[in-house]
Amino acid sequence: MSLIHGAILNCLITQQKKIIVTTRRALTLRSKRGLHSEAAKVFSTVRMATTTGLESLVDQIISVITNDGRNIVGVLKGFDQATNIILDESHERVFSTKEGVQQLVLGLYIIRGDNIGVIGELDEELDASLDFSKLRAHPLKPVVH
Amino acid sequence: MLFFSYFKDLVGQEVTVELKNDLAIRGTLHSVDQYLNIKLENTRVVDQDKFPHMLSVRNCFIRGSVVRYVQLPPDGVDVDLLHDAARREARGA
Repeated sequence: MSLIHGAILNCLITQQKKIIVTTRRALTLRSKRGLHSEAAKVFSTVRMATTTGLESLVDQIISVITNDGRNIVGVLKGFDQATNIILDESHERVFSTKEGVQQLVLGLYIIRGDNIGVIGELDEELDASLDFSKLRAHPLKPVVH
Repeated sequence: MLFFSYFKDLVGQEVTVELKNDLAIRGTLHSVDQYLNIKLENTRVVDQDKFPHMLSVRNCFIRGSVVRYVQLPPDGVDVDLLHDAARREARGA
């Protein structure tokens, strides 16, 4: 299943909040093409994702920490089982010890799952209460496997 | 699958997850999946002065591949049960 395909499937699912119904639709669509076993796989993945996946975060603002230590904030538009994600209206927050947090506008981004460390649900109220111009910190270290 | 089941049993407990970038996040274990991706609720970063990068995050998803350690509550570990389960897994049962 391709990234975009999966992401779109997940978008659909979450927007409609009718996980089983949508999956059944996907099942019928796929069985028409003779993809029974793959559909069954998708079904089990999606069912499991109801508790562990990222669908509760779709259309919410999330903060992503990447393996190279960057912090990217944006609206989650889609994801798949490899944690590849689609971020809309995203920006990077650059931490430094010399000046406050800089924000770099990035726009629409796809981040490959391999490079993702943490996905945090951003609490907008908490976020608005922070004064980023005064916040100073070392950038996060890259992930070392 | 042993550790997947093991972590599933720990859901609801307070754990500290140390990542491979030295960030340590404490929170209530919400869920675990087959990749040992972890979802935490009511999170706080252990050294917030050094790592203010997640100040406005209360719930998070941690990718299993970046986890270095999971620090467990002492009463969350039943060593005998884990021993038995590990032996059974090793026998392929």
